Amino acid sequence: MPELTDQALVLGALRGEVQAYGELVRRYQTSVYNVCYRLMGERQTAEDRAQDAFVRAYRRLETFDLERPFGPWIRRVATNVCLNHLNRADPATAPLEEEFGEYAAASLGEPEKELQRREMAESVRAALDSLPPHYRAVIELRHYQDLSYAEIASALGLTMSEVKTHLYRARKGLADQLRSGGLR
Amino acid sequence: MKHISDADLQAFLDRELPVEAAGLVSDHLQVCQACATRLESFRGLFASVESLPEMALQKDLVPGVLSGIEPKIAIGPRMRWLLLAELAVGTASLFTALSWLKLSTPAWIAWLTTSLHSSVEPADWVGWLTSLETPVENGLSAFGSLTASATVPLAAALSVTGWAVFLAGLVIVGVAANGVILTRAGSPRGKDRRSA
Repeated sequence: MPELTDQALVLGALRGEVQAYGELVRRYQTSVYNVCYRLMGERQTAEDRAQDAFVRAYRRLETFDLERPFGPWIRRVATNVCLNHLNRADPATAPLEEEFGEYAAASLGEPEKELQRREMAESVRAALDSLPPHYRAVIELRHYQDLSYAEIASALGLTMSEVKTHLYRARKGLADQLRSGGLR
Repeated sequence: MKHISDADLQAFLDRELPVEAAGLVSDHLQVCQACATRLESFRGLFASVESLPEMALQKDLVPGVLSGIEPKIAIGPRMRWLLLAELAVGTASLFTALSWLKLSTPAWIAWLTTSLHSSVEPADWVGWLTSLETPVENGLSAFGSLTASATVPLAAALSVTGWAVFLAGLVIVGVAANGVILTRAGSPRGKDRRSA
């Protein structure tokens, strides 16, 4: 039996088929969790926010345009859920965990390269985590969700020039952090 | 030589500069080693950020998500129109009931004034309960006298208002229920709705 498309699953969910939505969650949970992890910087909180994002997306499923892909839409919902949470939370309470064992599909062999890759990843995560939420959000949308400046402006309610400025400052912050960590 | 700002170099890498400006930056980079070096530094930064590996999710989110949602109610376009028509009729009935109550206002005022200035005797409550059991025809005949005079018997007034409140309550519950159904019902957007 051919695998159902995302659109067919969304239509199924809109007809009341909960299992169809369950399949969508199964397909996108890892990428949504990664959005949340990059923004929240902590595993348990990221899992909670990812779950919130799927619940919120379900409640607003009627607003999803079936002519567009589901993935970017659910990741955008997750970004907003995390931003809302970060704006409410105390910025000081955002620890970054040392979770070396958690990376997906790590390449086997060449242990030195693998170690370097992990160190680099941890440094980038730490640098990302050191940014204020609104800078983290523009980095997330630009570099991981591949949105244009106009799309970022629309998603975050900013002007185009604010997006450009935020990106510039966020990248400067990242570069400074990585440099201070001896990686750049 | 005037160098290119960091923000413009980044916008150039992001392909967000207007065509003309991008051309100028490109020409400048051919002759300015300092700007070319900064550009390469930004390119390296972008690559570092984007090479961040995905984290593995350590638990399945499906059970938690499915326990947090209520299934949507599936209703077809015909049913949707029927519910909307029912909403319209219900709202119109509600307004009719309200205007009916408004006509009997003098009787209400009289009743309230009496109640406020004297304690309610048990006999009044018996009368009130009896009035609720009065056939609607009696209530409707009392309706004529209500509009004509403020001194109609309390039992008759309550008979009419009792029915009106009952009907209005029924309509409100119906309207609210339909509203909930329409809110929760799935309604896909775009051309796929036709192919659904």
